[in-house]
Amino acid sequence: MFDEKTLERCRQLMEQYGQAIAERYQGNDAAATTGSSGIPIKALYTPLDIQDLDFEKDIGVPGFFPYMRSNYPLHYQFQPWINQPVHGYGLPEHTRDRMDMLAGAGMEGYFGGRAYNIVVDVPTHFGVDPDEPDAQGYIGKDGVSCPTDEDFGRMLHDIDLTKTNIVLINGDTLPYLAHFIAYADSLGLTPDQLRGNTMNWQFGAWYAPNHLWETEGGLKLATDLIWYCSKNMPKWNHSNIQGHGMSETGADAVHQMSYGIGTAIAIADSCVAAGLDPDSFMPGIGFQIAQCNDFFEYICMFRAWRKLWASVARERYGCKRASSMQLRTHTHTSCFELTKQQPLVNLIRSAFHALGAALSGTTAMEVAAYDEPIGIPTEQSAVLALRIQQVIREETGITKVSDPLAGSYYVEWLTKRMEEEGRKILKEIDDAGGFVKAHKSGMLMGAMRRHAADWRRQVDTGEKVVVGWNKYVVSEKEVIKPFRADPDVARVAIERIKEYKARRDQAKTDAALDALVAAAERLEKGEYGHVMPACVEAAKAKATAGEISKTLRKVFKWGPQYSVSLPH
Amino acid sequence: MKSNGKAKVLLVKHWMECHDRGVKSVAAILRDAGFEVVYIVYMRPEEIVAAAMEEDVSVIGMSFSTGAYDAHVPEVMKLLKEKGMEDVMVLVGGLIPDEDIIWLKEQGIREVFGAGADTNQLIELVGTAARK
Repeated sequence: MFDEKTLERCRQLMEQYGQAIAERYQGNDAAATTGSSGIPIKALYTPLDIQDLDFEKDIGVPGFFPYMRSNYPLHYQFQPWINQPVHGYGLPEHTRDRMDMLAGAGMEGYFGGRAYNIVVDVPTHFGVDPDEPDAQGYIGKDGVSCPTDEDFGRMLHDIDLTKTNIVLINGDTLPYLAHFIAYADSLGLTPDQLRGNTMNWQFGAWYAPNHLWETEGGLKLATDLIWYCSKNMPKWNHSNIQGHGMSETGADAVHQMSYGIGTAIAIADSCVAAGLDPDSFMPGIGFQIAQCNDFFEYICMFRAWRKLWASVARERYGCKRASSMQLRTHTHTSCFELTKQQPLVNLIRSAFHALGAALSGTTAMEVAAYDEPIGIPTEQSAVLALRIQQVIREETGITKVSDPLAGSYYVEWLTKRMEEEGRKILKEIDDAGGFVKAHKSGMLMGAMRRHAADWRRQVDTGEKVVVGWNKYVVSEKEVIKPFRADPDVARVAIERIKEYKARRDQAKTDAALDALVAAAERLEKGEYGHVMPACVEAAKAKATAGEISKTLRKVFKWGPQYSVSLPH
Repeated sequence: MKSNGKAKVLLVKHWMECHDRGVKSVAAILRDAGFEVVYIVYMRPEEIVAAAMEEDVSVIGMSFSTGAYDAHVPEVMKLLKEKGMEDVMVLVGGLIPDEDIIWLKEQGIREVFGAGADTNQLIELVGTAARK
């Protein structure tokens, strides 16, 4: 990237610079530090640090392989990232109120369209109906209770689904998507008309106690969902890899990126083994990415992530479509770094996280609300989080130039280092026998847990400063009124599901669930393409989310995969 | 900070709860302080009391990130009373709004250690529950 004359002059200047430091600071090594992933960082970067980079291969231009600078030739100049706050609580009609409120406050999808990022409560996440004992205490509290197709109707009535992006955030994905399709069917819409995104988290929610499906069975279910989407739902993005969840569990930037790509490799391998063409399913894989405190490191992680993904798609899977190689991203700003103490300070933190994500060229964003350490957002905190995105987008001017930090010696050097570290970890996973084996052995979770414990130790010792928690502490507490869903939610949800079950044609429901068992048994044997259609039929026959999930569990192993005992 | 290490602690989280970073951190902190720690994922509150009895613990720490303490805490406290285990110290941690702390203490919860709580205070309090 530089001619020999420039490099030679640079060496001379650096020698003088080194002497100046030695004289002025008595050889003090205060300038040496490390980033949050443990990469040593110097106080200054020059052309010497990036002299081995090749402009075309390592940096390039937006819209061209390796897509490091942006997926598209024009990005924010043409279409800024989608502001996509996660929302959901109470009954479906309560969530609809929040959807309308946020849309009124300027939450929008691409080109002024509508996009809703809807999260369900934990019972709906895990296939537990409101009338089951396990659901008590959890109904509608941290997301919307939505166990049937009719609940989708209560939430999405008079919304044009052919023009609206619906993101369905839940754990047990197949029944939830099936109910969405059944609701669309009741409007006369076919699956190919629907646009949106499912999560398809079959490795367990990383930050949860590792329940959900046993790994191999879960992968088969994930693959069957992708099979269905790749043949029936061309506008649907089937999988969203949970980088944010890994980050919240403890992964640093390098591990979030590598484990995220590793998860996608496991899913892609399974799809290829099932006989799917990579170019048919790779564009449907997206990544939910956490943007955390270490400002430059997370920007460089993001750039390296795009580059690594493009390389994996092209070299590992032989993809030819650009959309297979382009990293689809949904930023979720950091939550573990937010504090309950002096909670309004979280607005400042989240603004920096969001700014970092925007400078990284993300394609969609959720900004955490400042009351995240207390509960789910109030109307006021949800709107303020949205305003952070709007201020960055409309007022700062950073959307004018693509990848505006490119060419910085530091940013290019660190991006390259992140890429190298990422390749190293991907190789470690391959050497351990692949992602599934590495996951099952505890190797991945162990690395995340160790990092989380280190982080906490550093906070407790004051080595890592958290403003308002271990430094600049104030004695008086700021009292924040927590958000609470209507206390009547559980009673209504229970009544509704009982009434739903009472008025359905039970023989038809039973027959559909029996057919689902048969389809699941075929999938168990490696026969794809039957389970997801059977889930849709069961949903149309008024089987609930809990019933569909439990039917699948007759064939595939489900439940907490381990408990951890810590003996003295 | 090290403790006398005599108390045995049962940490619990419901199987549907997301986000267990906090409770796992507490497990590591208490273990490093010298306590014996058992962590379980439970399905119904009665499993907590059964595990507390079987493991003969002097402290139970319940972690909530999704607000089900209003349903689970009274049930656990009632069962502990029924089994004659009122001497077991019960703590709560997780995402707990300040205005709920009074209610939790009325239920018999000794202390609430929410986000950003002081680990030394936790270690000290657990230390006072050491078995005789």
